[in-house]
Amino acid sequence: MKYFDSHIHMLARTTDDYENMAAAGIVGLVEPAFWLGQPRTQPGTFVDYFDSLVGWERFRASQFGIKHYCTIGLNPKESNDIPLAEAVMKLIPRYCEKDGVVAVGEIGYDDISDSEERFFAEQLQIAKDMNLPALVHTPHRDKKRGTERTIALVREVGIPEELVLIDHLNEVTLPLVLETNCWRGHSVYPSTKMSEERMVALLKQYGLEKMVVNSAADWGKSDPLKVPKTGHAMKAAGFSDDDIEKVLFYNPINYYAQSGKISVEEVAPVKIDQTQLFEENSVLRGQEPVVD
Amino acid sequence: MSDYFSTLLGAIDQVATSEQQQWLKETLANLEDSQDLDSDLLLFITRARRFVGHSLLDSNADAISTAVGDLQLQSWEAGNAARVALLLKALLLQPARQEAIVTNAYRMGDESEKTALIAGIALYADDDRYKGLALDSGRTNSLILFQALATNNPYPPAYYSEAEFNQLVLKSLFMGVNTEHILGLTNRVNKELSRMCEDYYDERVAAQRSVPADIWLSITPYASEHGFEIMTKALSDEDREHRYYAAMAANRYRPQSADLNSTIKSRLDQENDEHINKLLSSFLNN
Repeated sequence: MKYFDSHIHMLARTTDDYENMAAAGIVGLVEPAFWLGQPRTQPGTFVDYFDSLVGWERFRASQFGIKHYCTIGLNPKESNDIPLAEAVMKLIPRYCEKDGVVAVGEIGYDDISDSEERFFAEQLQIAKDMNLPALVHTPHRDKKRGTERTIALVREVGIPEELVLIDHLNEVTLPLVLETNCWRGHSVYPSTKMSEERMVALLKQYGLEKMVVNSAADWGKSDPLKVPKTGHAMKAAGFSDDDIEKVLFYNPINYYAQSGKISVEEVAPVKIDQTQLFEENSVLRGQEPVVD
Repeated sequence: MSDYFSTLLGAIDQVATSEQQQWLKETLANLEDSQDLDSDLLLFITRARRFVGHSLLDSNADAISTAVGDLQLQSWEAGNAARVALLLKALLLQPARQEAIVTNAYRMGDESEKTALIAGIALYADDDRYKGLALDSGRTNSLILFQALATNNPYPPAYYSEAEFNQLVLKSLFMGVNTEHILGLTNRVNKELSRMCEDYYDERVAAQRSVPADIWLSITPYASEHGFEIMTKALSDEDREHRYYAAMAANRYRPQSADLNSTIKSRLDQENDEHINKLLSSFLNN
């Protein structure tokens, strides 16, 4: 069984996680640009961060057999620092042109403020103009209202709904997105967001079409193996292997494939060669290099 | 502001050792002589907690009456109070550069430094010019920084818009910060906030997760029919905290309802908790 994690923040994870993910069958992932845990204060730190997503992190993943893609965007929290946000917005179109950047994201609302809405709309417009998918984060608080406003803004900007994946959905917000042609993302966490059991219940109730599951693992209490664990829960609940691969491999790749920069055929396990260097840096710290 | 400064120094002196007091006195003098106030202020703020210490200000320390409301000092550490005193001193030395000094001190501060400055924001902000910094501090994942903003702080209820205040309350519930300590909640609660909290309740129940007991303080005043139903049920919840806060909310906001009256009357016969009984009796007697 092979898996694809559509939303995971590997910058915050260790090489143990990469090894465990590869061993569990994860062959590819998408790492969205996001909030680092405390605010950035300079546009330059965004440049360095975006560079690491398309550079070092992609290399680091390959050293453990995983294909790494990313999304680029200004996250909602940092949209409230308007001078900074305006400077970062100028960077986004160029980074979105780069290889392996499969969507604009993760964008959306956090406090549902006016400035968040401004930059959310501008980034939806960028995605529309560049014919790229848009990965949308629904807020942790006032989630239902945030999801309603997200759908309204998607329609107002006029980006094709099929290009939009609305993520972090739950029992209350999924029905709202099912009324649209947007893709339906769910993040499975140890103690917050969704659980495997609740995810299985939603899949049984609403079917598999455009349903996407991810771990959204980051610097907080999260688990980068939640996608394969959801697969096991689906199996235990009676879903077929085809159903499991549909939700946990084909759906996310087909969603991002609308960018033209990823395909099912391309997402095969990477041959590991730990003798390789990235800008003269190695992931090794004294170990023997693994070479497939 | 000079009155606030003097009161703060007095409160620090009550709990600081003679060495700690001496350090602060000398450092304030160094600030007066500084050739680079911004840099020195940052350095002294960083040092203050280490050199003035962690003793809590006296529980009998007077609240400082600010333009936006009373600021209680009892939960403040002496070192953090010293940080605020240093900032006030800098502002008194260069009043024309107040905004630049405050913004720089906040932006360059680490978590604990920002926490001290935000806790004392009412001492240097008598209008909304620093609301941006307050809102910025509220976006944090740091519990101590968020608590410093949200609880026992007269600034947000004075200057936040309805939407901003509502997000502050909702985030408090989200982070497990007791909304009973949000100053001005009773006056600022509104229909939209009640709606947001009802939605949050439903989301938590759908996820089979616990609901923060103090949510009733925000649901009750403008509860929908559904909100009223769940609040009334909370009066009989097996969790004592839910019963307590539902009773507190009923007593505080006094929603008019014959059903509520009869529910509370029958609860009085069954409730064992003395504090809850007092609240229920108070509701019925007024």
